[in-house]
Amino acid sequence: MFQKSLSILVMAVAVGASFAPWLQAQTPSPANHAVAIQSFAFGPVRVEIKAGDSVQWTNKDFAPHTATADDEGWSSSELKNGASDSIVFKTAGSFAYHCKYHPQMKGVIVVRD
Amino acid sequence: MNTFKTIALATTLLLSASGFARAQAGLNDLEVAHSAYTADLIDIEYAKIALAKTKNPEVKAFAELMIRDHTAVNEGAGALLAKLKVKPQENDFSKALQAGATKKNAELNGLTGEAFDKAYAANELAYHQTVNKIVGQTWIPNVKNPEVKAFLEQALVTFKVHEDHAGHMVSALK
Repeated sequence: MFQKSLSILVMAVAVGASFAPWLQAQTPSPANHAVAIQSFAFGPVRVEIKAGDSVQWTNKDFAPHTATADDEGWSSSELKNGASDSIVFKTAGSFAYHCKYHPQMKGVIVVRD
Repeated sequence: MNTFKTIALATTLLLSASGFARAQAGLNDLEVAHSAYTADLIDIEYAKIALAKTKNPEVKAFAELMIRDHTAVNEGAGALLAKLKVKPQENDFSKALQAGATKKNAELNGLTGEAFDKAYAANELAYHQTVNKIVGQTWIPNVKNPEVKAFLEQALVTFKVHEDHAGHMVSALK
């Protein structure tokens, strides 16, 4: 009886272990989307992501830039040459943004559920 | 008498312009670096005068932008020169730039209110037009070191944005 219970336990653990990677694959971790800032432009200008994903901006210009929501609801830190900053977007919507120092620089993040 | 004064003034301007053009031709890479660095510092000084004098929020924002961006460009230049282990060389052109700036600083310091704002804006447009032409047409095609060339190309992107911005500021102040 004890041996039978042990066998069932071992089998259950083995089955559980073999399913673990599959279960993990069904719940993908949030993605990080890169946006380069170069020659006073965001690239790509439009980024489509899922709720919970993040966007990371990296400044390749000498001039400092920001990524700041048009409604000022969120903003990256000031990005000096070579610096990066990320923001997580938790809710769906379309978020237009600009550089607060160079307002002609514009981009948009589209977040889907 | 007025005609004589006009001719004398025009001759002086022409001579200074040709001297200016001669002075920036044939610079080596280290002289170009010094001239570019000097040109940045000059615009930062103009901006500091503007911050002390203007009450116009757009002019103030532009001056803050000039300080922020030109300081960043000069930090980039300093990093590149440190990496290349070289020192920029003072030269006739950077001296001419500084001499011209000293005169312009005195002129700007003598103005107030709208007259100052208009003069500052016009000078920013003219200064960026002149410097951008030199950077784009003379320095970038002639510098030998590829990293210095890449630096100037990236700096020129910044300066052209400033030139456009200054143009809008001049129009807005008319």
